[in-house]
Amino acid sequence: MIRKFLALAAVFALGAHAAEAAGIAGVWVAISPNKLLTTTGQLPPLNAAAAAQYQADLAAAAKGDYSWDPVAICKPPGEPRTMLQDRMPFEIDVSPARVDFLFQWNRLDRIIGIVGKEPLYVGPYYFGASTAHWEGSTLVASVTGIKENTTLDAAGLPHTDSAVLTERFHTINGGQILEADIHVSDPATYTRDWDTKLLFRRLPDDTRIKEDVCMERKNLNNYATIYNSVTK
Amino acid sequence: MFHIARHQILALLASCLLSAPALAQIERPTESELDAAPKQFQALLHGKSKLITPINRGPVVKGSLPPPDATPVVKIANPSRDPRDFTGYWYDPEAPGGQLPGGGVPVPILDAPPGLVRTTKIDAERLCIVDLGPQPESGRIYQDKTKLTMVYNNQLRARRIYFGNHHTPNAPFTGNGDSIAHWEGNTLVVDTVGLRGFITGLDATLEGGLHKILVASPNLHVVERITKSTDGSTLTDEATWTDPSVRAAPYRETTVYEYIQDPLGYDFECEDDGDQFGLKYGSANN
Repeated sequence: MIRKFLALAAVFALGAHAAEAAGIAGVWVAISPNKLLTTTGQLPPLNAAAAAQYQADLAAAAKGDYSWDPVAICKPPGEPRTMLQDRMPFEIDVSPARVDFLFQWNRLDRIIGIVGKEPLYVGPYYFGASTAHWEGSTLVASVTGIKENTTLDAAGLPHTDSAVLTERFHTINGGQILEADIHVSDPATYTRDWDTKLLFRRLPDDTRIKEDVCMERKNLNNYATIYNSVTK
Repeated sequence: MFHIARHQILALLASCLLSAPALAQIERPTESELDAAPKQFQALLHGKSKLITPINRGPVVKGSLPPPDATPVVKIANPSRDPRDFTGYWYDPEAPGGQLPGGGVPVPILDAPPGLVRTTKIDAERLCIVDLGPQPESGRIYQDKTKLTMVYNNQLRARRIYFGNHHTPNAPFTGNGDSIAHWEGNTLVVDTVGLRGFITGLDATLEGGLHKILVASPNLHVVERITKSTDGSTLTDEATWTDPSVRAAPYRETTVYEYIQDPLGYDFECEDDGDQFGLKYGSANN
């Protein structure tokens, strides 16, 4: 019995070690909800105008009105919201030249080039333009130029395209948890900079990431009707 | 033991209790609206990710991304000589930035039994769905113990091939299909089934403003044999497409990819392209 227990413990430890050695690469799913709070558990410090818009959007959402939210018509959710969207899994792949965040959600791909101090491209883009480097096994990314028609979370937390996110991705708990520490700087929207922490759970590497097409899932492209209509 | 703050736990519980939000009324594009799109959009024939007429993405900003069909090609030495290590960026010199005109691969539509040709006014690319694959395309390959992940330059898809001997039971039919692989020596043999061919089809042509699409049957089966050269500079993919309902003889195609420096990618969103041509996908601002 003790030998079986020790064997199981050894297997678990080896698996955890392997997970830690993989770093942030792997398949992940959100633990954190798609509504950002600061690291002290507070609503982020919106300025008056932004707070009014945020509350108006929340009130609309409470009535089922998502006309303020481009994600409702399958626009990319942006950064960091896509990692949390609908709790769909995503895969992180690492190479010397770049890191890919491959999302199940509408098969989106965020490419972070491990390049110099300036982003290769200016933006604005849905995932913004990133410069990134490694600090040990922590990926540090600075993101600018995020399109204004995205929100930081599904509750509608706003930002401008002048916002700067500084993200630190690393694993804890033997590599089983991915932690994203995000610093948000957007003086046009918030009264001060603020920080949030997002957590993700590791899934097995062979987890089937489904082929998700948002326009089909929501039947926004009417493909079923159109393609079933044979004109000849 | 990791620590999750109490407010995060409460928020997680709360989010689990809430049901999924209902959608507001979304205005869907009608067939006539899609047909009314400008000519340059109608020029997007099935299978062409390389545009005949470039889409106007607005003012060119210094430092903005290159157009999707401009893949910088810088040949470099492959650091890995391991014949079973396919990682890296692989470039198809015959299809820079995307697929060959006309879709590249499969059964020529002229060989098809008439009953399997579907005619429609709508081009599948406007619907932002995943093309019928696997088809020759440049992109980056990642590899681990369980799978290969292919990230294509055309960002309508990432394809995954899982090591194993059994397809996923009851897998839904998809554009990428269900791919499994095993090694025969240093050749990776990839077996793909579950390909959804009734939307994008095996081949297509445009006649008199109508798209004629050769529909693949549910029995479409693709086998690829992929081998890396000894110096790691090329990857050869010999693909055999079999669909007895459509054509008696299998269709074969060989693609030789070259190892190049990763050109990184571009931010391409199909749904935005539709917006630029006035396709009404809803009332939210772009």
